Amino acid sequence: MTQIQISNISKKFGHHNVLQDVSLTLQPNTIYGLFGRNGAGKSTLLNIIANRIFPSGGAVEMDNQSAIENDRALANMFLMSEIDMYSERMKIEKIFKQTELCYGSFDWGLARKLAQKFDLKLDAKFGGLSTGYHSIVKLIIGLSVPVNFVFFDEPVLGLDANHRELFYQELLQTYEERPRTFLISTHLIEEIAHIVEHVFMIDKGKIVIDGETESIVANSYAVTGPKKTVEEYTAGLNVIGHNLLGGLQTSYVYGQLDDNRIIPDTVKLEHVDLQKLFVYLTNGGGKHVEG
Amino acid sequence: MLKGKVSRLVLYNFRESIIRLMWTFVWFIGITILLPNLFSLTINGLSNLRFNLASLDFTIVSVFFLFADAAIFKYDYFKWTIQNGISRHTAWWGKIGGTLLLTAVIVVIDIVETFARGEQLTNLFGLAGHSFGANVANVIQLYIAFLMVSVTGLVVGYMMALLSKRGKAVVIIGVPVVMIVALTYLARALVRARVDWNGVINFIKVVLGYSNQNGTVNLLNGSLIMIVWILVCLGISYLVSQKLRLRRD
Repeated sequence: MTQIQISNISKKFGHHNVLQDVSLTLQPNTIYGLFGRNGAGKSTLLNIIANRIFPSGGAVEMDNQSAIENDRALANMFLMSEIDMYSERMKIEKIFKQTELCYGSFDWGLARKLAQKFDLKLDAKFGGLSTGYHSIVKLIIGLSVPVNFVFFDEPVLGLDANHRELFYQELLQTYEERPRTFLISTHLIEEIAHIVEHVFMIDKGKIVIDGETESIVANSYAVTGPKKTVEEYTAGLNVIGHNLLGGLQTSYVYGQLDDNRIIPDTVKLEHVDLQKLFVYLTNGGGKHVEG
Repeated sequence: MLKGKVSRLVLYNFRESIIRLMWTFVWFIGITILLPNLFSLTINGLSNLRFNLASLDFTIVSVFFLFADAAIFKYDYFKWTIQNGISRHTAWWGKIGGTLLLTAVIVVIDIVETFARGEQLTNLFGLAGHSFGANVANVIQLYIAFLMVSVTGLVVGYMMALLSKRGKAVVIIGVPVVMIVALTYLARALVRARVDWNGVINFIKVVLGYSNQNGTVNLLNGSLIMIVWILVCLGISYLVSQKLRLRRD
């Protein structure tokens, strides 16, 4: 089965290191989430994978062959990005036809169905659409192209809540009908947490989390209780942040707890959701832990 | 699979160029015939209307188009191809294929226009065609000459595609200004220096294979120079096209 292997990718813009030694593997038929703060390097990473920019170092391979300037690899991936790559003067139907021409085929049935659901007119010009509808056009193309790797960079940019919900539903449905790999880069972690099977968190150009969603959530804890007790209980653990409210402190721990430590009666232990984990991991206290 | 992709791209580029060429002709006819007639109609009435398509030089317009079509929208072309899973290498081949076909169409336009006027085919270098005595040689030479125009446009286009919007603006405004200033100084310097041009003229004559006896130039010399120019331009445009990358501007 086809997979994409990203090894030791680095990227410099001038003296600024945007990506540093990033390595990850994209397996077939999996939905990935790529989370990171603004400027963390998400878009740069996706642009490198899709051959839009070149890395300063490292390799992107599909089935052990370099994906850089490789038509076979490029024809098997699609990147929907924030930047509009289509001509403003072009009508939507023509954009779809061009996509079909280049990729060899196109799921017109799905595209027409989605256009109807999103209330998108195919004879409209791309440049005449709002930001939200620009995203919708690109989403429809992303779901209708015959590729095994689809990368969505901020896919719901400008979409209202109804359209966002519709997109998530359609994404899951099309994934069920034709499994393939999706990598979704977004800030709206809460919305896609239930969709994503595997998570990459990127902070300051480095991957800080690479693991299965379930395992990551299972290893994330909020320890709440009196300040002193919480500090004693979490001493030596991977504490990624804490809140203090009145006399109560909540410390967020990512990683294994010490099974030999008895949980004090005054301390409450809960799992942390992805969004909170992301916030604390990328607030400066993050340490790399394999999930 | 790759060959199929290149041929699809070649045909697509060719078709799009032909559509743009047709629109160029429409504008050309509009500006040179319809607009003057419209003015004439409003001033003189129906009496002075003239619709003489034969008076228009479509070849000149086509050659300008060849250059412009090759030179503009290269960054947009890169964005479109890379978005659609096409490498820079394949995109370049697709553009070259389309350019070769478009150039052939423009040669045909020139031939049709020439015969329609009852003239002889264009001889680019004096009486070279006469010395060859064959229209085929003229057509080949014409094709090479037109191709030279389009690949020069490609080099300009791909180089401009490397620049940001600001960079493009600087080049578009700055280069003509620098050229005017430089040429003015050069002209003044040459006038003051009183250069003997005979050496330069003789050198050009040798390069073009000028014959004092016949008063003609050798078709082959000029064609070879153009072919070398074309190959150099193709090489440069390929190398530059491989450097293209997505910008945020």
